Amino acid sequence: MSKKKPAARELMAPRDLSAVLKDAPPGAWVALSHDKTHVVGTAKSIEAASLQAQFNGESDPVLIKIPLEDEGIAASMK
Amino acid sequence: MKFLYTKAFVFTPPRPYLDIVLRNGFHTAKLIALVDSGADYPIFPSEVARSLGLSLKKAPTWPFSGTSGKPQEAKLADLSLSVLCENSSDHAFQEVTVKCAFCDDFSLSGVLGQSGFFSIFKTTFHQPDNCFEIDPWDSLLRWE
Repeated sequence: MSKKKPAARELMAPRDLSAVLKDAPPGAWVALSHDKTHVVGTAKSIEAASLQAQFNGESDPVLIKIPLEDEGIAASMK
Repeated sequence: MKFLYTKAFVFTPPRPYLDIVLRNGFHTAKLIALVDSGADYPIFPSEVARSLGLSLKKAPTWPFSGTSGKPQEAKLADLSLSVLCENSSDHAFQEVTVKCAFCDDFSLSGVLGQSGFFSIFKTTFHQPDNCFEIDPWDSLLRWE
């Protein structure tokens, strides 16, 4: 009896923003360009980060808050 | 619709993040939010509400135990929420109105929880493959 080969699983690489965000300080809001390839604003508040983005010509930024390095969501995987 | 996991930070593993738009009238905020089945509501820092012109003074209080590990308090308010496609501009599905929690001491840009996200979207995690799928339970939320 021939054994069926298991179907090859489609392995995908995760989207990687870590290089773009590597210099962002913990606790800061970062505004990314609409294609998320570069930082267009960094500030303590969401309003200031959005404003910086506008000054840098990005009218539609994507915003993310940088967590503290030692803080996991439930239990940090390191 | 399938989405890739995102490695957002050097010090964290890839996680299921979505780009979303929160809207209050003409005010909008485009955020990266974590899909988190352990959260009861979508939770955001209070300053997100302020940036959307949303007053939380008379909003009901919701005590919860959150990312800090300590008891925390949030204010609940209804907002419009859209999930964006991976190009961060097209809306994946129709906008929904959901009850969101806003907390002064919240260290993430947002999490999407049971009520207001999992209650609306069937979510399937394919963790070993670094991707997840979401699909509205209500087919009327899909674009024709």
